[in-house]
Amino acid sequence: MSFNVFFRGFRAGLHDFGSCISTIVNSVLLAVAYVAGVGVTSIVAKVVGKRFLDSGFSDAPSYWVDLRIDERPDEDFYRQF
Amino acid sequence: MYILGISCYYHDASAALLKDGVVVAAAEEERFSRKKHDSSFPINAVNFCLRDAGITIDEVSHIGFYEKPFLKMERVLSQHLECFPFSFKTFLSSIPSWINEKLRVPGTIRKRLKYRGDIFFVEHHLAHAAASFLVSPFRKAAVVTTDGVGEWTTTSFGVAENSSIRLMKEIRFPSSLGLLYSTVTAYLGFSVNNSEYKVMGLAPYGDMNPETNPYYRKLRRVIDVKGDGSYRLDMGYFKYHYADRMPSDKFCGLLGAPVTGRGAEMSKRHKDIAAAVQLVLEEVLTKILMHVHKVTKCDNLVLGGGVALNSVYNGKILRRTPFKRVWIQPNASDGGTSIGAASFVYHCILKNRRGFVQEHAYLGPSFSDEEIRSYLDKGGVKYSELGSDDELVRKTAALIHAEKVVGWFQGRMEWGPRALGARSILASPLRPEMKEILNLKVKHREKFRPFAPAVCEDDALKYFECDTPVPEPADFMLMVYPIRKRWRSRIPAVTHVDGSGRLQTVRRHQNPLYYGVIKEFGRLSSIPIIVNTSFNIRGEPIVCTPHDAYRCMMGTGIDCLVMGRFIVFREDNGKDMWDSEKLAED
Repeated sequence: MSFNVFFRGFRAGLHDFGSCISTIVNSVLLAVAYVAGVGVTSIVAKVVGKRFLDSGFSDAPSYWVDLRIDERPDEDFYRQF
Repeated sequence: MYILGISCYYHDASAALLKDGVVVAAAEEERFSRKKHDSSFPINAVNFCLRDAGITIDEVSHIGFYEKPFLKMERVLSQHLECFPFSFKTFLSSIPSWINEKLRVPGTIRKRLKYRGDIFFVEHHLAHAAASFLVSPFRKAAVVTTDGVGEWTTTSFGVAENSSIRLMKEIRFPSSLGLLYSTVTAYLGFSVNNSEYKVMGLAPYGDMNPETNPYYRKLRRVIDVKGDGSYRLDMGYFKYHYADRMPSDKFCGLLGAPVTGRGAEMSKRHKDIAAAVQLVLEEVLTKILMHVHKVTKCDNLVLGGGVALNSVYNGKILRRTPFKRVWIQPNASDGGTSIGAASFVYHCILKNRRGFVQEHAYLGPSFSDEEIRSYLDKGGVKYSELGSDDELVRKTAALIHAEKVVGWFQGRMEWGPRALGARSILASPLRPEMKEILNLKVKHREKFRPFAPAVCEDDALKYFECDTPVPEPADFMLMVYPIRKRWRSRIPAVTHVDGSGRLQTVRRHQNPLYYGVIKEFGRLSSIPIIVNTSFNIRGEPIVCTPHDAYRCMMGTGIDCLVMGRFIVFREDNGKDMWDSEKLAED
């Protein structure tokens, strides 16, 4: 086996190892963020009756929601929100 | 003034370039990367647009992006907050892509394109509306957009006039007509954001009578529709707002069985379910359109969003509603929003007058005869050259009449999901076996799916029960109409089980060669209609380059390839044969 082949395999192995570590660290950090951030906020919201999505049928005469997105300054289109 | 439109990071990434308001080039990234529905940053599509226009990025004055990423992120976070702790798995899988790319759009554009100008962010449904209205032939029209979901909006309507678009009302996530259809698509064992058209094709095999279709009444339980067409879904039947699966156990219980496995044989039950969701979709859309007409008092209608690709319903619009004319963007789903974003910037933000009407979909790359010859010579491909366009037309029509399956590669590639006579497979519709031949030798697709007829616009009314005059969206294969009864048995390969056909009307000025082939085939056979299906291997995007076309022919049962002025026969090039079915994915 030549050095080139050995080092190519070694680099690929290191890359895979790095990806694994990255996935594990990301998952742990995201899990913490999910529980501490999303979880706590969600529980508090549920306690105070805040809903984030409209679901379930209602007796309202219409489900249409007003959307007048022309009535804005053009500068709004520079923004991502 | 050049304006570039970009859409990416959901599905069907694309780029479009406007020169003084005229769309000069547009393409989807998948055609270059060869990954179907490629969602990655469309660097190849952008490079093509710039190359085609003969400019560099420095000459682009503005870029329009097809959505507002932070608004979309707000919706995604709201889903997680609402559905904690059930959304844990999707949180882990989706958030990294938000952090790494979706929230970094300006940085990515500047870094990858070396661009220093303005970037505008246009709401997703506004981009859909712009993609349809601003390139339509109408000065004023009602606008309706319906898709899976944008930022928050899933359905919207409004009115557009000259260079302004005013969306007035919306339905918000999680209620979504598009996602209801996708849920049934997933339930029937097909892939979401890809195979909804299969459900549409399967529906006519089922019971299309709402009185007798048992699944229609069941599906009506999951959606509450008001008199004005507004609707809401009972989210107990769905999981898409917190999981990577669409139907919930309650949905499966409602329809009486678990989710169908991939590749399963379609039974009467499956067909009735497909029919039921099509019925529900048509019922809701009709109510919406009736309401929109009442509110806007416009006789012209433009449609945008993925649901506007439901050609079965599109063909019924003018008969079921008071609208008198309809126009639909040929690339109505997310891929088309790059044209929408760029057009919105040019007309609505920069306040330029409209003057461009999109009359055809040939906006992609083309290859000269010299480039094609060079490719064939380098590969040692055996071919023959035709002397003139007349000879090319006559020879191609004769091959189709001799029941050969012909790969047709001419001019600029199509924009949008349909092959429209630039990257098409052509065949004779006169024999019933042609459907099986195409399926067995070339397409390897489900037996129930119909093939589309292509007919010259001036012959359409003779063979099809079209609206009069034939609506322009039929040029983009976006309207299904009944085939007149006396012709159904004469063109069995393109007659669907309910006697309908998803026709493409061809006008001479759009594509003279293709028009000529259809007319010449009519002279030979007495019926000027041919089969037109997309030039691709199952699971791959439509071909883009001469190499893609040659490779596709040699991997399938396509008999010959008419590419530019050259004809290549498969049997003359046996050394390059391979079996595409072994690699086919759906």
